[in-house]
Amino acid sequence: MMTDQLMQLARRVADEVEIYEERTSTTTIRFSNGHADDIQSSMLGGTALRLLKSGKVGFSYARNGREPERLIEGAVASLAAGVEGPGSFASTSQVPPLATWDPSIDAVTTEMLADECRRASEGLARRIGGFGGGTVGCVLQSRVHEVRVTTGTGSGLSARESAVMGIPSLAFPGTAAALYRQESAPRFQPISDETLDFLGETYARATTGCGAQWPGAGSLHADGDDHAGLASDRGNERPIHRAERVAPHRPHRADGRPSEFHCGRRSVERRVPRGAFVRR
Amino acid sequence: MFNTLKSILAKIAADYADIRFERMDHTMISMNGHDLAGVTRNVSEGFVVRVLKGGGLASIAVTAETDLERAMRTVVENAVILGRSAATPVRLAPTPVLQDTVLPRLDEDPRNVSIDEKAELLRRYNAIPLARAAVVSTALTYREVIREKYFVSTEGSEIREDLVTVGAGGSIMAREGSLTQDIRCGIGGATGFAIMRGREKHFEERTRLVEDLLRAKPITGGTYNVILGPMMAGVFTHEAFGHSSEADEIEHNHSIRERMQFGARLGSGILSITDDATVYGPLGHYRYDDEGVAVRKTPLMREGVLVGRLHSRRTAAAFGEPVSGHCVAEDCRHAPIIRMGNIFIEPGASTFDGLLQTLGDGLYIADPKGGQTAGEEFSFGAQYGYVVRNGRLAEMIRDINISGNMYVTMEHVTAIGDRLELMEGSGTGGCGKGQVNIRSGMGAPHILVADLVVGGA
Repeated sequence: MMTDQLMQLARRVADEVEIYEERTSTTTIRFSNGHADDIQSSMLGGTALRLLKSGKVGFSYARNGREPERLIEGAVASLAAGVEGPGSFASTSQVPPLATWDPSIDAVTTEMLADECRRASEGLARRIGGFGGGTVGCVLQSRVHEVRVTTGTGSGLSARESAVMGIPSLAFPGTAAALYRQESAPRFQPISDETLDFLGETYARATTGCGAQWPGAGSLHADGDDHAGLASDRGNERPIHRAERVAPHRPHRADGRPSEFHCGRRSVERRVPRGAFVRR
Repeated sequence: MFNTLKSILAKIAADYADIRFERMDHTMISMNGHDLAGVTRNVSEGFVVRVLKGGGLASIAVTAETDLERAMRTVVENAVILGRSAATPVRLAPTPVLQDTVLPRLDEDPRNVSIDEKAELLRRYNAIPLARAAVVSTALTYREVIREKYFVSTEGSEIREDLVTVGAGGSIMAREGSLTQDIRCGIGGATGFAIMRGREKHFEERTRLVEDLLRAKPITGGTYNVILGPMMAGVFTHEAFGHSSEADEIEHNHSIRERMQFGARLGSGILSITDDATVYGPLGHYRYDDEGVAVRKTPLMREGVLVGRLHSRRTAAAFGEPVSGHCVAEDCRHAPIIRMGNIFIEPGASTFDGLLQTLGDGLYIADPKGGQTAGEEFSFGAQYGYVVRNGRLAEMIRDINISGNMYVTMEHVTAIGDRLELMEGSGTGGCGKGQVNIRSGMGAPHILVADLVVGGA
């Protein structure tokens, strides 16, 4: 959307104008049991327009960049409905900078995401005694998000953020529950050994009889969750990652040492980090 | 538009590619209590390109035409990477090449109704509950979604299909002393704006129910024989059974897949379940899915035996089963995934009174209120219900949840009503599997289920 053109047109019909523009690019790669299931990318953008006239507010958005007249028409129609608006739009022009952008994001490729998914999946598999038919899941997503807010009074703000998010997961046998952790940084970085260790150890704790005994561990099947629990508060999401035939296994840490967790003695030296949980 | 899309596809070197362009007009009017909270008219446009190359099927969504060249390079590269890393190469089941344009037969086109008139209608319906002393608030929203979809594939398919959905829904909250109760309401559908007019009775009925809930007793938890209302049975059918009928849900889950084999007995001998998006009228109707496949009526269960499954072209090839035309996207931001159209339990022979007589003593549980499934286990809330005593509806009950195992519950269906009811579309979303599908239709007749676990608040 040509901001200047939109601003010019909008000022003719309103006392105050605010334009919000957004662009997001993502690539998401999903692995199950060491193999790629899916790669989806998106390049999405949009413009939202708010108008103030005689104390009323009008709003419209468009996910294309070529019809400013249509956007104004929508906002004017909304204005006519008579929804009370704020006295004035914010006139902020300066905000403290946030460290949300890392230029190295431009060099992140799908190949890098795939390699990392494979590495993390294999690392998890090693910790639980191999791929068990779908137990091990991994999702990596790179994301660039840019936002700009412009008002008719001349104030303008913009921000951009980069993120690479990794979500390794392990699904439990015989249930729809998955254990996962999410790591996110403004740049590409490997999923940490600490996360893989935590998942491997916690999974083993559950499936080897220490703590809660999972009936039939070693022969049952399991399924997991879409987006590795990214939207775990949505009741109707469906499982994607699956598992079966998970052999009871003493966990090993990334450095090859046996885990500090000892089956049978119910002692776990490391505390379970906050933020990691078993879903459902 | 077809020529534009074909020229875009012509630039892609792949084993297969398709492109979908979609324009969506979205109108929303919201009321919170007496206040008009918002009115918006929005437009979205975008392309979704899918590429099959070297055994990998990748997708990309793009809203700006200026990004298309870069997007096409990206999606081809991604398909190759995916093909190299996949467990098995993707194949697409063959389907007929089609050229068609489908425009809905609307009983009053909402585009010809002014936004003022729509807001006034919502205000009128909103005023019905608010006129009652016990009602403390409402949250009602009118939604109108008009989608214009164009699909072109390298195989030669060229399809345009428009979908128009209107609805108004939300909740009504009532209070007496420290007790607050709410009930959902919703009208709408896929047949035009006329379905929105003259619906005062619906809002009067829902208001009466929420007032009654203030005097209802909390349910005592236990195992009961119950009659599930059509909407409750419909949600059970959709959530517990329907999602397990979606091939992408079970393709990697060997335990469920082994159980969901054609010919397997999964329910009682009177239970038959079908997905039918072909019939014009119900909310989930469409002619072609977002892979350009003509949707077909798909029997899923016949007299307790599994006979069908919902597929995309990819899963149909992977399973070695026929395509069904159920690969649908929410909008131009998404690649399609497998979705239900209109899933329902086929009607039986019992009248509602007959079901009550058969039940004798138990519960009647009506209208869903949230819930979730985990594999074959389910747990759903209900908005209200009644105790059934000596074959008659007695006192109202509230704070109801039902839970159980899908297979056990399907085995325990002991009688089915003779009147099929399909859920109306309130425009607030029918199914949230990854993407929101506002046109996910579901329904059932009343069904009688033995030994259902019912939990209280």
